[in-house]
Amino acid sequence: MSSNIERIIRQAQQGKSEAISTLYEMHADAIYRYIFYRVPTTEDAEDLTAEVFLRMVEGLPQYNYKGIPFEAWLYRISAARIADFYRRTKRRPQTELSDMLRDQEALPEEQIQQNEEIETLRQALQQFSDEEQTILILRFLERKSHKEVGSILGKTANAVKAAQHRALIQLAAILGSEEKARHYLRGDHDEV
Amino acid sequence: MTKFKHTPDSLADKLDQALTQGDPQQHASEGDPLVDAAMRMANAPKPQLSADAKARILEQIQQHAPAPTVHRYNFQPLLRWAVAAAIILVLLLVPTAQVTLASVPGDVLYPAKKLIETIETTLATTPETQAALLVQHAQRRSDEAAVLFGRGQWNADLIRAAYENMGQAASIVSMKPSFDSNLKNSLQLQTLAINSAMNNLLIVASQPGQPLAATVVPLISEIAPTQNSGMLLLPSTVTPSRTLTETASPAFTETPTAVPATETTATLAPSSTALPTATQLPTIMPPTPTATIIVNLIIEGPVEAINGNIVTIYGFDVTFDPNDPILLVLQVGDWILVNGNIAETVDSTVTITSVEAESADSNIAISEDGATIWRDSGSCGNPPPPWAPAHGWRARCENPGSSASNAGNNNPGNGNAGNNNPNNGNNGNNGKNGNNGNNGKNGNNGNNGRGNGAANDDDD
Repeated sequence: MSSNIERIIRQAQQGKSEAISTLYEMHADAIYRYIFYRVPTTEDAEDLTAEVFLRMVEGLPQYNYKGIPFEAWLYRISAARIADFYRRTKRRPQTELSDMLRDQEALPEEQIQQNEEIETLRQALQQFSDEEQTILILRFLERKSHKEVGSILGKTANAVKAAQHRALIQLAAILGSEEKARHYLRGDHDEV
Repeated sequence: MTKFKHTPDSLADKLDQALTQGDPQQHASEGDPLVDAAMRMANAPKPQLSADAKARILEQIQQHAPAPTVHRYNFQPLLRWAVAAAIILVLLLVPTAQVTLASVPGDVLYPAKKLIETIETTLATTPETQAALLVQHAQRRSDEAAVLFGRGQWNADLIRAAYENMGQAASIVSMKPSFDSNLKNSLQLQTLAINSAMNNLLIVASQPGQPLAATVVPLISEIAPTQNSGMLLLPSTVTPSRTLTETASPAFTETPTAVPATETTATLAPSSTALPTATQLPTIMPPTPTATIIVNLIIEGPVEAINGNIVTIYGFDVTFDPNDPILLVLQVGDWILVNGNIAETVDSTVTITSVEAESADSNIAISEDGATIWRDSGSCGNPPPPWAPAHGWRARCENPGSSASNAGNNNPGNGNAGNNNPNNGNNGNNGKNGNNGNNGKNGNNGNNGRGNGAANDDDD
C-alpha cells in the first residue's frame, strides 16, 4: 500500500472528514458494482453499499493498515453484508423477477437488452458460491489480476486460477443453456 | 469444449491476454466457451452509484464518522485555563514541542509548570543534565519570586527552593570529577547570576519602608548560611570560603567585615553603598518583573469574529500573519484548526499568535505550501485547482449527469462503434435508474452514447 493511502487511512482513523470522504470516493463505485451483481435490486445495492461504508467508518479505528489491504477489507465487509442481507430477507434473487425487468415497455430496445444481460448475469452468479462470485466479478468486471483477487480473498494466485477455471466451466454451461433457452423463447430455435 | 482444452494456468494466460487487449469482444469470436463466458462478464454493464445516492451515502457516513482526535473542546470561560493547562501537558509529550512557561504560584498554569518540571527531572538521567536542570529550576524560582514581588507579594518558599536547587546542583557537580568543564563554568555563572539576583531582590524587599520588609528580613538570616557555606556552584574567584564569607556578608551588612549571619539580620540596613556584589557582577541584570507566557496551543473551533488579521475562536483572539492567505477566504462560522503560541496574557484576555492554521472545513482547501487557497463558493463556475480534494464541488459539478449515464458507459467497448449502438448513453439506466421504472426521467434521454462514453472512461 502506498504511503499516500496509508496517510489517508491514518487521517480517516483520526476522524478527518475529508480523508473519510476520499476513501469513500475511491471505492464507492467498485463496491457498488460488486454488490449490484449479487443482489436483486438497485435499491438493495444502494442500501448495502451505504451499510458497507458505515461499517467502514465504524471499523476504521480498529483497522490495521499493515494487515489486509484496505480494498480487501471493504470487499470482505461487502461479502458479509450481502450474506446478512440474504439471511435477513430469506430470499434468493432468482426466485423473483428483478425490478430491472419490470416496466420495460417504455425503454429503448438497446436498454432492454442491457437490462436482460445484467439480469442474466445476476441470475447466473447466484448459482455460484460467494467466493466464486467474488472471483468472477473481480477478475472480469473489475479486471483485477489473479494476485490482486488472491490478496482480497486471502488465497494464492494459483488457487484463484484453479477456482476461476472451475467457475468459468460452470458459467459457460449456464450461459450456454440460457442462450439456447432465450433463442427458443424467441422462436428462432432452428438457428441454434 | 473438446476443441479448447484448458488447464487453470493456460486458461489464466489466455484470459490475461484477452483482458489486456483493447477489445475483449474479439476473443469471443474465437468460439472458446470459457473465454466467451469470461468476456461476457468483462463486457457486462458497469453500473455506478448515481450522484444523488453517492451524496446521500456520503452524508450518512459523515454523520457516523468518529469525532476527530483533535478534540473540539468547549472553552467555557471558567474552563479555559484548565483546558489550556491540559493542552500543555499533551504538547509536552510531543518531542518537538517547545513549551516555555513563566507562570508563577497562584496562576492557573502553575501546577502544569510544576508537573512539567517533575517530568523534566525524571527524564534527566545524567549528572550533567540533572545539574543543568536544577540550576534552570533555580532560575525559574528566582524569576517567580521577582514577579510576585512586583505584584506586591512575597513567597519565601521560592527563595528557599532556588537555593536548595543550586545546592543540589553543586553537590552533583562535585561528585563527578569528570563533569563537563564547559558546562560547569556555565552553571557557575548562572548560579552566580541567580544568587546575585536574589541578593538584590532581598535587599530591595527588606528596605525600611517596604511593606514586606518584616517578612523578608528573617529569610535573609535563614539563607545566609547556605550562601556562605561554600556549597554553591560559584566561580572560583568567589568560591573560596573565606572570600565568599567576606563577600557575602557585605551584601547584607553595612561593613565589609565578616559578621555572623545571626547578627546580620539585626544590623541589616542596606543602602546603595552596601552592594558589593553589584560591582563584582556588573553584567548581571536584575530579574525582569514581567513574564511572557509562551505556550504552544492548538485550538480547533468555529470562527466567531474576524477583525483584520485577528480571528476570534472560542473567545480567544488569534493573531494571524497579515499575509496569511487563509485570511482571504476565512469567514465567520468556518471551522479551523490553529497551531499557535500564547503570546500574551493581559488580565484574563489571551492573545495567540498563529504559527500554522488549517481549515477543518471541507469547502476550503489549502495547498501544501500554504500559498494558495480555494473555497467552494457553491458555484460550478468556481472550479477547484487539481490539488484540492473539493469532493462537494466535484460531486456536484463534474459529473452532474452521471446518474443517467453511468452503467454501460464504463464498458471498455463503449468507444467501439461496432460494438455499441448510439444509445449507449442510456446504458447507465440498466445499472441504476432503468431499474426503477423512472424511464422518462433517465432512460429515454435518447442521448449520445459516444459523448457519455468519453466522459466515463475513468474506470477503464
